[in-house]
Amino acid sequence: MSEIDMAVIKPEMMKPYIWLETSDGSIQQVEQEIAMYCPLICQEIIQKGMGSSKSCAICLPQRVSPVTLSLILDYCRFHQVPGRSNKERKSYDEKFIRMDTKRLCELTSAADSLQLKPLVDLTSRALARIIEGKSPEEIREIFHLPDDLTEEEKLEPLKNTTDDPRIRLLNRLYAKKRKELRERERLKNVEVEEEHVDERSVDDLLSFINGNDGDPKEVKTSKNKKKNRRKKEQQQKNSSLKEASEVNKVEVNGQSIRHQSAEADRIAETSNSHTEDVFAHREFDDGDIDDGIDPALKEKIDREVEDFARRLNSDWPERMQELLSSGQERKMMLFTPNGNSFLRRNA
Amino acid sequence: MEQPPDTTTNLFDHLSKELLYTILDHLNDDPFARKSLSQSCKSFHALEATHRTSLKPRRLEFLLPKTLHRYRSISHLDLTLCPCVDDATLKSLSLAWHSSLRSIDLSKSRLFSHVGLSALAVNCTCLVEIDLSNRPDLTDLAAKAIAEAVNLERLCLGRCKGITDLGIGCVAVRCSRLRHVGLRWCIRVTDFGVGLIAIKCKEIRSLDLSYLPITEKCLHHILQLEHLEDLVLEHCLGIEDHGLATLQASCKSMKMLNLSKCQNIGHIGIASLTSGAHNLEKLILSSSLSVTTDLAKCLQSFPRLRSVKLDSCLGTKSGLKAIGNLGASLKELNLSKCVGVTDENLPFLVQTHKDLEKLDITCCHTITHASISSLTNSCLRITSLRMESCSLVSREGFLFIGRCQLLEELDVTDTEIDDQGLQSISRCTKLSCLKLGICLMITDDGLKHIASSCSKLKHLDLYRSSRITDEGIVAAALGCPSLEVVNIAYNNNITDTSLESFSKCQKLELLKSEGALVFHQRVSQILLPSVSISRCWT
Repeated sequence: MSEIDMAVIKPEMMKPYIWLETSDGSIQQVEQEIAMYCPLICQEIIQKGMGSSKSCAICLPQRVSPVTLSLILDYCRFHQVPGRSNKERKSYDEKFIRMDTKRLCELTSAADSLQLKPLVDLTSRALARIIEGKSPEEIREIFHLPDDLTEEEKLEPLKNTTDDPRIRLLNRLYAKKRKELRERERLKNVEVEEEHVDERSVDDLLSFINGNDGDPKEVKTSKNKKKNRRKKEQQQKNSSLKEASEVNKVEVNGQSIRHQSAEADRIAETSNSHTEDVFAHREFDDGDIDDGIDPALKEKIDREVEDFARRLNSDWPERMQELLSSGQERKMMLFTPNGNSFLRRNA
Repeated sequence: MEQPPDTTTNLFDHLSKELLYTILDHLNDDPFARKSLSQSCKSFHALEATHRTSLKPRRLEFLLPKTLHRYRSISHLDLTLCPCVDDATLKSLSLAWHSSLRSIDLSKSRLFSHVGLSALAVNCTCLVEIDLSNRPDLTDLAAKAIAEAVNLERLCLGRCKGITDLGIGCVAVRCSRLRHVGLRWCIRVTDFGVGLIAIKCKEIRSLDLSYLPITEKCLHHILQLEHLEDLVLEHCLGIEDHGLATLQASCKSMKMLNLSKCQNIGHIGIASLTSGAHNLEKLILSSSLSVTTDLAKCLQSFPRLRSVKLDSCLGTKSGLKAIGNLGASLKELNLSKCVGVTDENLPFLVQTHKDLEKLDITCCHTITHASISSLTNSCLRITSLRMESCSLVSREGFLFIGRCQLLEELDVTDTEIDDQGLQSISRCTKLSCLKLGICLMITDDGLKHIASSCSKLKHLDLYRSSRITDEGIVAAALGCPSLEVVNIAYNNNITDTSLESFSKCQKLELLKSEGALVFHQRVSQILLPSVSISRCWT
């Protein structure tokens, strides 16, 4: 045992260099103490006895190219020297990571494969710093990312902590746009059933009018959740006799539901008060009334609208008129440079 | 030189998913960056969703099925910005995140009932933390529903005035792993309920029983908890010296005791409560009793005492002096609004507690520059000094403050500090919070001194400091790029020029400018949307 230890130690002392082979097959000689700074290489040397000669060079991971290896060895050569101050090390690190983004990504990946954690931390923070303060478009350009997100995923509402009426308006327009996109998708994928309250409501209505009994489980669920709706549906069935009339009323109710949704959006914009959900709930319950909005509900909506107008510190009718008159122009502006500036500001 | 970009290769293809998660973690301070990254391409949109574990939606609509579907691994859910959470919502989210949800904050939600809580408790078997504060309408049915979350470790029921001993009993019997319980203002919970908690939940580490109608009867059980570290008994008027004298138990593990506003407890009661508590580090006695030599003797028993709060107490001359003779060396001392603090006893205090790091002498109206001189000579490690409304400290007194080079927080609101004082204070280059409200002697010159030296400043308060103009604000904005909170309310000399300069402060979160002559529309154009502008004149 003692003799074996001597045998192992002696070659290392005689040979301060080890052999490394990169993925392209090239082999080079490196100072052992520098290479040992990499945990992976250290393991290969100590546990497997590799690297002592050219014929048994250490095979490095695929992600380590000769250029990247050179950079990593420069990093190790600096940091394995004892006695350097933290300030010196920090200064070196700052200069070290000044490289183009592509090389920085390659270096991060290679350092990770060699388990060189300090360098991984350094490079991943550098990448994070590149991303900070950038818009999605800028990030896409810098890192050559594909522009494959759907329009719906991009149209997330902007933050409105400043209570800016224009941002509020923009959020409403975004909501409208998202709705249009959703309807478009629904037309394309008629067979796909989405778990949306509106969708379920329409389906329930159609199922009831057509007289089809779904599977007992579904019927049971519907019964438990919407007792009021069931009563109203019953009334409607009693009041109608002709299929053509039923079809017409389905359309009317469809429009009514859409109209109700629009009203719900407006209420949602006016306040975050506790009445928001109450209104929404009630609207769905009253969704199948075919003579328009419930008078009591309409009164409450008007009250909310008045409150909203007061909070905007402007007269509501004038506001609406302004919106209608400039709606077309504004809509065009939103998705040209002005819209981009909003998004950039948000980012 | 940067090479020509290779437009066909996604640079992030080189990086493993773990590395991408690491980069996302480095972006945690910047929610905009995470958002931008998630919106750059489809794979990052998915990556951000799988990696996100905490969620704080701004509107209830964000909890629609789309969000529930997108984020599959939410463990911390903060609903404090969603007042309209109801039972149906709780049920939906408990089903969506049934295997991941560990913590939920419902302290600002008003519409749910015990039905929603029951769904939450039954479905989310990993739930360990829940905050139901501010729901005076909840009853014992809600507490019983909560009790079904048998893995709970942290429960906050502050201001749930409808919950009684019965509900607390249900929780105590079933949630035996509780460690942190908050029952502040649960005014229908008595000794019985609290006693059950103490008997059944043996892992308790912190207990907040403020404003409860409890007596020493439950304290007997509480003090037998072997792991109890923090005990808050603020305004528990049913606890008196007479009852405390009969206590036999002692709690060796206690580190923090809060007896604020307990006017019926004196030094005898404190001695009983803390007998055997040799590890006590923090004692809060705000608005409770007179600081006497007897109290100081009582505090001699705690060699590890680090923090004492005596704000709004009545201090006797000898009592405050006796605080200086404690065996322990204090790091934190609060004498705010403490009658009796004078130039006779404060210098003695600070000379004997040289390790002091935080001192609060707000509204100690009788001290002068002599105390400040003594303080800055003795306590060189001080990091926080609050001396709002110390109106007798002359301008010379503030020159001494510059000696404290480790100072991070300074509050000199409503004092006689002038530009020379600010010049001296600018030597404290580690300053991160500076409050100069109602400082009528300071001008732009003083503010420029601060701006040129204190680049780490995060909080700047110039409320009603009426001689400050745009010139000083611009200098501050340029010299302190890390500003997060700025208050320039009611400063008539500040205009849009100041606001334009703040657009350089990327981390600005809150700008208070009530009564300032700025224009709302320009504010929106200049500053980031995250800046909160309140009541600007337009």
